[in-house]
Amino acid sequence: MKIGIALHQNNRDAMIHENFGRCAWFGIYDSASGDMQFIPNSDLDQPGHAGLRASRLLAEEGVQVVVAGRFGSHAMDFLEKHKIRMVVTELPRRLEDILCNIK
Amino acid sequence: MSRTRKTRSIQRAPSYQGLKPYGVQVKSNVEVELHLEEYEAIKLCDFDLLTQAEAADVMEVSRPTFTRIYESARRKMARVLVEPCVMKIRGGHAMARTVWHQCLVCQVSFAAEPVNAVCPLCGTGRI
Repeated sequence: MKIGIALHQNNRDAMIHENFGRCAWFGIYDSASGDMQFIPNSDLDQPGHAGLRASRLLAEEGVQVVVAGRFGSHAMDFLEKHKIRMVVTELPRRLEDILCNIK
Repeated sequence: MSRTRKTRSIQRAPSYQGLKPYGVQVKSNVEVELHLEEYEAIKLCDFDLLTQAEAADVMEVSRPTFTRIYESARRKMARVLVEPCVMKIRGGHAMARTVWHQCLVCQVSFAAEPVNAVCPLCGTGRI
């Protein structure tokens, strides 16, 4: 199962980003293989609908679960329609803390 | 009895209980109650920057209803800012469309079906 995570940096020590669409990097973790891939969020500075673009990007990568501090309206709408599970961390969390619990 | 209110749809309740002004002694008996749908109205229009028409659709209410909710929210927040006083976020006639559960193992919240939900990360049953 592929999990998309909104991150501040592109390494394993990264902190999870508080806003889904406006993060600098996405980490894509494959729970079957344990592989971790980092993709930059190139549309980060565009005004409006960042969450929607981010959702589309991750959906194309075959992600089934997404993790961030929070999700905006447009992102939530898209993710719900595409049955992609949202996980909200609320408080600042490290990527490692989330990964270690994944089965 | 006045006409019953249709339930307003919200995406998610805030993760905190309210706001308190700091740097001043506030009267403990004065508090403003911001309803959940009012919080959502501010979130949709002022944070997510939707138009009132779009926000009304998201909240599944008519546009005049949305405007009333939004205006009420702004007036309450203005009062909190100017007086100042404590604001508690609770009450109203709202229900979350998405059901959010908590996973005690991962310490996260996740969206899932109302019953028999399991954490998408660790697979344990919800709280």
